[in-house]
Amino acid sequence: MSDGATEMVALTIDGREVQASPGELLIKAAEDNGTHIPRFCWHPRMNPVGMCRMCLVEIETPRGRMIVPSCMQPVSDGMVVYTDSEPAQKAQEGVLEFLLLNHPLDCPVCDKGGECPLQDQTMSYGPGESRFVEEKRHFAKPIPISDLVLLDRERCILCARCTRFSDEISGDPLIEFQGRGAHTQVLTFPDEPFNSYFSGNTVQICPVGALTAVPYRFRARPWDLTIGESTGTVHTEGSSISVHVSQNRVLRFLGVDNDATNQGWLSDKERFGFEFIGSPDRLRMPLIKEGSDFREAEWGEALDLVAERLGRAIEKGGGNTIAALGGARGTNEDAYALSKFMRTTVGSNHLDAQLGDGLPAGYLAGWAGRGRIEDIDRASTILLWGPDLKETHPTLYLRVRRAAQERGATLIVVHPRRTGLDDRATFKLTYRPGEGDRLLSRIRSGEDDLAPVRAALENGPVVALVGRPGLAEDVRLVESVAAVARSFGASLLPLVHRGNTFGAIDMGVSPQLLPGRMPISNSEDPLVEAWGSLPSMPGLDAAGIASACHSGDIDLLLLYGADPSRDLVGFHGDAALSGAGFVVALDLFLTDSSRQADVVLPALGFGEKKGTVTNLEGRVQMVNRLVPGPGQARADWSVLDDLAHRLGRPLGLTSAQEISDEIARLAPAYRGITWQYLEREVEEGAVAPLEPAHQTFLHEPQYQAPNGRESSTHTLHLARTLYDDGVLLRHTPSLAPLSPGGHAYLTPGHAASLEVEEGDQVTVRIGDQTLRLPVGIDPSLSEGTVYIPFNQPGVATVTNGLEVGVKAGEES
Amino acid sequence: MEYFWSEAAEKRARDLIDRYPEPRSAIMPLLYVAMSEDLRRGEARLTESGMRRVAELVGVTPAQVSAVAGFYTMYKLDSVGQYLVSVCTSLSCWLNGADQVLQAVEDQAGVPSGQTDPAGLITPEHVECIGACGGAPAVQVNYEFVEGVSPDKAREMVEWLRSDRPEWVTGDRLQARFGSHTSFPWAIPEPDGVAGPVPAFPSLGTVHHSNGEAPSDLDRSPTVGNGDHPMILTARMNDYPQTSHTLDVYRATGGYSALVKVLGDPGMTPTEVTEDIKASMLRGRGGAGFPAGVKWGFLAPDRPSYLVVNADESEPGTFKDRQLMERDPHQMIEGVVIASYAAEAHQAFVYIRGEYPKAARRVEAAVEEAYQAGYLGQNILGSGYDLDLTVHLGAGAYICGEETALLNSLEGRRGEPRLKPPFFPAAKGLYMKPTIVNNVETLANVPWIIMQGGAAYAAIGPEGSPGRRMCSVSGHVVRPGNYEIVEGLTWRELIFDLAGGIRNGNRLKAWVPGGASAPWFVPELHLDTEVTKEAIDGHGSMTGSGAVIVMDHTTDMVAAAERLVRFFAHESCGQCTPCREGTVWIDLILRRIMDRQGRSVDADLLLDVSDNISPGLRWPPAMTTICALGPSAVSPVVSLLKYFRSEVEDYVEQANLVPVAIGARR
Repeated sequence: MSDGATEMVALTIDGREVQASPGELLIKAAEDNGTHIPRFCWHPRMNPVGMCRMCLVEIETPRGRMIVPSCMQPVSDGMVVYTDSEPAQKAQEGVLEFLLLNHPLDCPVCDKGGECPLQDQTMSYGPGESRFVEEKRHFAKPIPISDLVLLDRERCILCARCTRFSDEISGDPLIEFQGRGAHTQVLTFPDEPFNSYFSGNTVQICPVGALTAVPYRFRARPWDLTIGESTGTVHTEGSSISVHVSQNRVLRFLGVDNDATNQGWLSDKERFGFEFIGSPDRLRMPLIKEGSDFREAEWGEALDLVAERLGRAIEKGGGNTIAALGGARGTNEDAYALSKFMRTTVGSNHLDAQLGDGLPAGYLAGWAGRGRIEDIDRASTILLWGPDLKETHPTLYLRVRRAAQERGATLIVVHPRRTGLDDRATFKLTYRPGEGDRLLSRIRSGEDDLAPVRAALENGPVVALVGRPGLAEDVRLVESVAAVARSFGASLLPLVHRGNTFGAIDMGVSPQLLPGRMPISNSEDPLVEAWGSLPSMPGLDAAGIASACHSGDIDLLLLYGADPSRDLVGFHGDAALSGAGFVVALDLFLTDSSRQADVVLPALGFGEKKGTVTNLEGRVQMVNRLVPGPGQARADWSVLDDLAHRLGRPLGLTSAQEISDEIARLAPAYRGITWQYLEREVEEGAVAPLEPAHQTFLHEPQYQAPNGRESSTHTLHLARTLYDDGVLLRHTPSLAPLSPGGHAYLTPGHAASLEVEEGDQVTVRIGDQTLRLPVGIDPSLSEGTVYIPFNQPGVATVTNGLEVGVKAGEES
Repeated sequence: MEYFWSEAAEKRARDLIDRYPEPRSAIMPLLYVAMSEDLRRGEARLTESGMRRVAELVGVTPAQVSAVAGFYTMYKLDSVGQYLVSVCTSLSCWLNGADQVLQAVEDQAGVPSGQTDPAGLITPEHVECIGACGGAPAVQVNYEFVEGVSPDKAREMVEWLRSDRPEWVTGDRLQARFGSHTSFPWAIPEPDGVAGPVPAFPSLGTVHHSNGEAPSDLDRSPTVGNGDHPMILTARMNDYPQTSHTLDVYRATGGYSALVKVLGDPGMTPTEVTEDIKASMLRGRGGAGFPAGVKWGFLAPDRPSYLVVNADESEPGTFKDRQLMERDPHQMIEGVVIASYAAEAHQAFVYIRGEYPKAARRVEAAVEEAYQAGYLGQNILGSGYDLDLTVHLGAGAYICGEETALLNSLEGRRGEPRLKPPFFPAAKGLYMKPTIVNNVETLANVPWIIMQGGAAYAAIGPEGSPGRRMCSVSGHVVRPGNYEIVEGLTWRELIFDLAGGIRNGNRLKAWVPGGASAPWFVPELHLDTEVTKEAIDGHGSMTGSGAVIVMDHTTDMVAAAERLVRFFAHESCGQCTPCREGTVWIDLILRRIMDRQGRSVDADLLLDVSDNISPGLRWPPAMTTICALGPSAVSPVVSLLKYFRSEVEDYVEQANLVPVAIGARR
């Protein structure tokens, strides 16, 4: 398709001359010019199939007028189209009548009623009554096709949107047309449920009530819903979503088509993850530990206690005895408040939004805003060396998949085991953790069988999606990969896990950075001037903070929505928590970590506060407040502001909006990005910085040659899965059961040598940690690799040592 | 219990996958292998485990495999008996008493159609047209034909199956024992048979090779036609009734000399071949009648290109390609090699409908001979030209005769037609590559044309549709069968002289002139018009597949129309709304009328519903559908109401209506 801006064609639709891009589909061209042609099967994000025949129109041809489906008809210059001629209307009405023959018309009990394209188009284009006096088709209904989705085959109009989505977009064709003719039905294979990470999208795009989602079923009528736009914070893509609320409860999220980010799609984790917001387990009051239990307290008492302990710590050992973990789950405004609180009120650089599972903040900040998600659509070659995108960056996965499949982009996937993109990869390179640097060096020099890979990288434009493939591997590998990708001129998209990691780092929730992507060493900036004197001692990162807690060097630890007990990589979280003198947790729930805190403060969560978040490309977008928080929960920033007052070093923050204004004023890379700007001036968010000159911090990744070390034993691939034992999932009843659970995946050869089979228990040793896990067999691993999914229910937090030993049976 | 395939089946599976450029294409043959493996394990159906294994073998999900399996009627998802007795109840067979045959089979088996007797032996089923219309009523036992079956003989046959429990059955023996007249002279006895409800086909490993003697009393009468010009298509089989299918006879009668002419010295360029076919004015014999040479000329330059033979003959009334493949397979194969050369293709496929296992066996054996003799494979006749030819067996879906549906089917997908535009096979065909799709008979003409020259072919018969073509005549005629005609005779000559007139001295009421989709002709208007493409088109119908179905004055035309509509409703792929819903609705209305539940508004309702499938009810039809199947179902309704509206009204007058709210269907 042409970009349209340069050359346009003129066509006549219902007597009106309009302009369109050549080759554009007629249905789209008509819509863009104000003529809506009814449709069911056509979806702008999928290939047209012309099946439902609802969009029939007449066009002039040399052989007279012809009826054609407008979803399959490219426009051409001089084309004459009739969408409302008598034959076109009769054809459309006829199709609608056919569709309704076997439709149960059970709209009063159908979730889709009120937002149903079939209902709407019947009202607009349909006949008033049915001429069908025969018996309708019957099916058992509804039937569950997965834990999340129910299917009503009587309502289904066989538009194939769902089957095409799962085949063409998400690449897990588990639902298909079965049978033939009038007996055709959408169905799964027996005992193979529709277990897709993207199943909710099919519910959203179903033009009737055939697919319904368990979490929303019978919960509301569309006309009773209050709807607000927001940005998903489960993943780092910054997916646009709409939040649907009734009676102060969030009832569902729908994807919103933002071409820059998610193109309308959502992962099920993002979509159904709303459930935690209204969880009865939410913290409603501050809690103060008494003995081994908590008692509820008023905010005043709790804050007095925290302020007193903070003050005492500062007095005793200085700001350096205080540290904070977290901040990547909230808004930029909350993160800014934490950064300012730690630097100015406390006087400590010990703060980290990442929990040892991320990438160096300098690298992230240095590359934010320089590669775009849209680059994937233009790339000749896509290099993915990082986590399995399907597990960690679901909508990015869809985009890469589509680029390879539909556009034929060369896709290079490098990962220690199979990934969701393997079936679309031109090159899939599997390596043993610990040997990535050697593989990289061979790609770099284009050795032997890797010559075509190198050649593909030389064929730009290249986009490189780079992150940590596994948590046990040396994080320096990532920078080396990025450096090599850069040497081929690649545009970089950094991959980290937590939703607003980029926002938190941009707000300075990092030991080395101040807000606006500024190194702490920069003392000239207006921000430093405004903040006053800042701690000069370099801060500790998450693992360093944990270690210092354990050794007693950190006296007071502030958990800002962090759960190191389950989620920290690089140090044992529980050891850190027990070592710290005093632990304060701001959280939505009692977690394994906050249970160990001395004071727990109830915070506001997603949907309960307004602010901004930043995605992996540096795109700043709004999140909105649609429901009140539970009980006495408060915004993070205001809690910190109160504490600062009590400590006599006020932050001067009065509202989230004011914080945002301060960010836009003081943080270099965020200059000019105010709420007002985001809400009124731009549609798809704004990539920071608005002016290249405001990107003060540049960081060129460095290549490190392989160190020549070789591990003789087995090495560990420790990686996240979409569903895990994260705190939000624990409180999302629909998703919590979907975590795969703890396993030690062995190669078939390894399992055979241990004489174990799938399901047998083995003893796994990683460093000084010993785990008992059931065996899984994974033929996709390189020999010598053991794969363990991270943070699974019922399994202790796995240490990230590279070397791993596996023994059959009990440890002797 | 652990599920696994036999070593032989696993090897066969690998061989089958190797025959195709993409593994997914092997899904259909692999499903047959799965069924025969399931049979070996004592389950006469396609099991879920079998489908899972196929999914693993070709790298798709089980749901994608079952989506394919459920599309075709020959993959039995529910258990069947050891003997699947399929009774054709489509128009030609119905006109000859198929309903009574079905009743007889059901009675004798003791179970209704679709169910299996308690002993697990007999499963009667009624099927749509199986291409034995000249031998109507026709039956298949485990897909082996028995033609000209009376109700009494049907009963006898079921009883024999039940008491004798033959380990395997062969069509020729069944025919000798329980059949009578055949669609065309079978002549060549075949001792091989099949041991279960899957088609007997060598590369599926389902053929039971017998040392026993084949019957020798099969019909050997020649195929006749009109005009002075020597026979082109059936000459060899008339001259060598026992051996016309062998390579020896084919070569002895000048076979493969056209290929030598093309590939030898000096030879012909692909363009020269195409030009010669263009000059011959040879029209496609599958139904659309598009000039073959012009079609070849449309081939896009992208490579690789493919040639696909459409041998999915299933238009009710049509059984000519079956004869050409069973009796003279090399003639078609030589045409395939020449056409592939013209298309610069190195891989060709013959897609044979699953209900034609005997034709498929003959073609596969002939392909084997041709490979051995160097007419296929690497460096054909020393020319440097390579061609592989794969025989692909369908599995019971009329729509796969539509060329784009056939391509989807060949790719291992549901046989759903593709939209044209943009998916014209010559540009985006098999695997989205340029593809020529030609009918069997079309290609069977090619060797003659190459030898004698395009001009010589163009000189036979009327300008515009020259040459000899096969015409399948069935229904109420004295001598049903295939005729090799030259266009230009009248319908009177065809029906009364060649086919011997109407049975029992009855009067001619109407006939279908070109396959089930063609608007009907009636004696008052059309009997003395010419059988030429031009004249038939001019009278608002079509030559189509050359199938003529003749109906005498005893025929209930509402019921006849319903038989045809029922066929299309059954065969609709279900992809597009008007066809999926509309064909069934029309059929339901017709059945309701015949059930004495018709209303005075129903005739007009039929026309209006038809109009929503084929706007304007014109000929050639406009359509709201993706392919022509929907309008095909409309065609008999329009003919019915055009010529026999009073028969509809008679039913309505005799209707026995009760208020809809209270009265259920009786």
